Amino acid sequence: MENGITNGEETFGGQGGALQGQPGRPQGAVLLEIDNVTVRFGEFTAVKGATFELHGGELLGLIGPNGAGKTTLLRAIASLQATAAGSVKVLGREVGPGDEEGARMIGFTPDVPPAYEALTVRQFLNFVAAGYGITPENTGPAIDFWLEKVWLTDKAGQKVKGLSRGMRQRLGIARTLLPNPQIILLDEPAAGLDPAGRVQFRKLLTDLRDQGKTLIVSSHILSDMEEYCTHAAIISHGAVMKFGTVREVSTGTDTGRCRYLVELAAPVVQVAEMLSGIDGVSAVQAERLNVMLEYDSDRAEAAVLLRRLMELGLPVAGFTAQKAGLEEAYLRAGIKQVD
Amino acid sequence: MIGSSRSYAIGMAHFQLGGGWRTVYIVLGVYMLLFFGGVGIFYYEKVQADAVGQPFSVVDASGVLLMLLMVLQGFALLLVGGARVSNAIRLDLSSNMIESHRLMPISSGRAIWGYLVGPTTAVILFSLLNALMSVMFGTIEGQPLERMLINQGVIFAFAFFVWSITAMGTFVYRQIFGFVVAGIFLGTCARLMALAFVSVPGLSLLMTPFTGETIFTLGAGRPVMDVEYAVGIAGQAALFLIFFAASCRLYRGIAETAFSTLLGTLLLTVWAGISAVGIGHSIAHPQAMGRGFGIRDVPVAVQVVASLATCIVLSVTPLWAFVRQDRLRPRSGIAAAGVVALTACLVCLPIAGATQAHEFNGSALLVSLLSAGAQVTVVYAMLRIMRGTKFILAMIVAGGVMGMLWFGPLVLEAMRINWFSNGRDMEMSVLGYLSPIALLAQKWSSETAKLPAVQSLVWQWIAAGLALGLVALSKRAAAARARKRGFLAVPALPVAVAVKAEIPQFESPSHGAGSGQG
Repeated sequence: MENGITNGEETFGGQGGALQGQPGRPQGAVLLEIDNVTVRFGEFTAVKGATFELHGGELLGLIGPNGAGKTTLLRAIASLQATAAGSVKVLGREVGPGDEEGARMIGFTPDVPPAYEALTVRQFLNFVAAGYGITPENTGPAIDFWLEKVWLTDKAGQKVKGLSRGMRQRLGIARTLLPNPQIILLDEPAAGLDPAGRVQFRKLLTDLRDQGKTLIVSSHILSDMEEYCTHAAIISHGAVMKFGTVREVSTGTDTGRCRYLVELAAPVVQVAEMLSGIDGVSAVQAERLNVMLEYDSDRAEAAVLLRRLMELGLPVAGFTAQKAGLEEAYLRAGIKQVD
Repeated sequence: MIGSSRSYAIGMAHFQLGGGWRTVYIVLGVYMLLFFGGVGIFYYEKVQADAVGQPFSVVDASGVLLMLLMVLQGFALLLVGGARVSNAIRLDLSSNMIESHRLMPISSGRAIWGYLVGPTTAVILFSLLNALMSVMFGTIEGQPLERMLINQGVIFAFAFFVWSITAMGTFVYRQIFGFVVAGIFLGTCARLMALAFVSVPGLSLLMTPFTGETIFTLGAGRPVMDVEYAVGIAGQAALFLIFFAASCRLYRGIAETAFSTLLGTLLLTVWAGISAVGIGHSIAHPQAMGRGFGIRDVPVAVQVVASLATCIVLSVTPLWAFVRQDRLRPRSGIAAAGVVALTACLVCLPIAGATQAHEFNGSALLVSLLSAGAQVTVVYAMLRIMRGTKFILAMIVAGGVMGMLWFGPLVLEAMRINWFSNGRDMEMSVLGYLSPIALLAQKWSSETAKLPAVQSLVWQWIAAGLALGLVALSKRAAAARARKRGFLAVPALPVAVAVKAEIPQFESPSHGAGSGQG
């Protein structure tokens, strides 16, 4: 399964190799099985019967509003959260709190990664390496490798308290990747990163994915997730509403309908009522010069719609079919913000 | 750091956070300078005294110096060491580093051991050097080597015992160490500590550094304390393991309570056992106990009643664990009755130490068992009703009810005497003896029984029956709510609280603190 650069017994990471494959295709055995995982806080159920499985080389994006249960699900998978029901299996073996073997296989970076403020970056990673039993002769090279991967090489001697939020985020990612886990869980990993950092981070994720690792990433940046995720899951009120490959989730709601953006050259009075009167048009939302509506997704039918708009005398300056994507799927799911 | 493998990674990190080897070298260097400076002054004064022919007592002077070294040892190991353990855990809890540790393949036991020996490595090394200096200096000055070594062993064993309690306490409540130190300081100033020390012989045995004339005194008249130290250190070791196991449970952050039913029962057993040995030893060797506080003779009745009272307070641990576990995985009424009965028997274990007392008789034993049974039943019922709430709230309610049961009749009796005596001496009536404390004190004192115990026991069991009735009512109310019938027909606030508590649910772990801990 490992396919990274090695130094003696340890594998630090790396790119490409035998397990490299196309995103979205299973690349080996089922690495992670989530079966009916339920988490309760008193009478409140934060995660309701989450069930899915992931193979090596698959990267799952968790999508959902704040408070939907994404973080709780990640914590439950990482054995940091007690579950009221269900099981988490890694390579067919059930894992839970205090399971040392399971801890070696799962890495988790919370949205605000903790670190000892008074230690330097290298001292902190030395401690992490000791905690995972990485041999002293491999510790130095492994730390150098991951510091370079998260662009913190020049900060190795700096104390953690002097790092910016983005740097702490990267240090947290390095802490997670240092012991080379097979399953990597990242909660809002790009939240503190600048634009260049996000680009580099996407590259890092695709590298890890292509090495055959299983990743789960929770994020609100759906455009980014479309680029690197092989799978997506939409969570609302603790329940996994949709799960599948990014393509499946994106087009899974395809009922032969598509959202169209109509841009007007000048405001039109009662344009929403006019458009609602067209056969087959629904969900009209007018906002000054822009009108969103739903209509048949067939290209020929789109041409018919455009002709009808012209016949109505509307000053159409633009007419765009909205591409099916995660954002579209998320909006179509009709999820309301959790209080 | 003591050990540096994966097992001690957490300890190693805290050793580094505390300054690492640099701090160790500085502290040891400064200490050596001060020590040899002190010794130099000591010999300079001796030489000066000899030169002018003045008397200079080497024994007195070295005794003072050795006492100072021992006080320094106690300060370093107990206060500084305890504070370091507490601070390390508090830092990890507040910075959320504890979650980072939980992700590592490190067992709870190794993690807790790391918290005990990592942050305290510098303190341990300093204390070892201090011990070496004390033994060397004491031996040169003619002190028995055996006594010097025993004193050092006693303080080190006591320190590890204190650290294990500190670790567990900090997981439950982060600021606990500060409160404990403040409490001990104020208690000592008010001599409440002395009172507790001599009234509860188990405490006297556990507090080994203060047993007898304390390890801080090197006077010639100090009795040999081998037996007391052996019992005390054995008790400390047993309690160390229990608190260590409880800390391990809290470290993972998913345990319902700090103590499981088994751990709580073991805690109660060990404490009751030490209390029994303490009472027995206190009767056989009254001169050996309490001398550190200048108090020698304490009536057996006081010791028995005080020990029983501490056992009833401690019975909360197994009972709370049982009712909380029962909430998630309901058990039969027989299991509950068994736990209550076992707990009541354990509460009475200290009486075993009073067999040598001339007040001991079958009647006193039976009355104690029946009274303890009633009191434990009341505690169980209160905890059972409040099991869905926070531990502290349940303790306040249970403590309030027990306070009324213990002191309510005595207060009423005092008021009756005050109002109706008209200056005449009045004896305590049956009203006062309704208090279990008054009843047991009378039974275990050499006084002739003024009143039969039956009335008091009947009243105590009526109270227990009422408490169990409330439990039954709360069950019915919960069942009614489950059937969505509402519970308007159910009176009383405690029942309403209990209704909520009856609904099975899983508590959110909160880094070892908060609801469910205790």
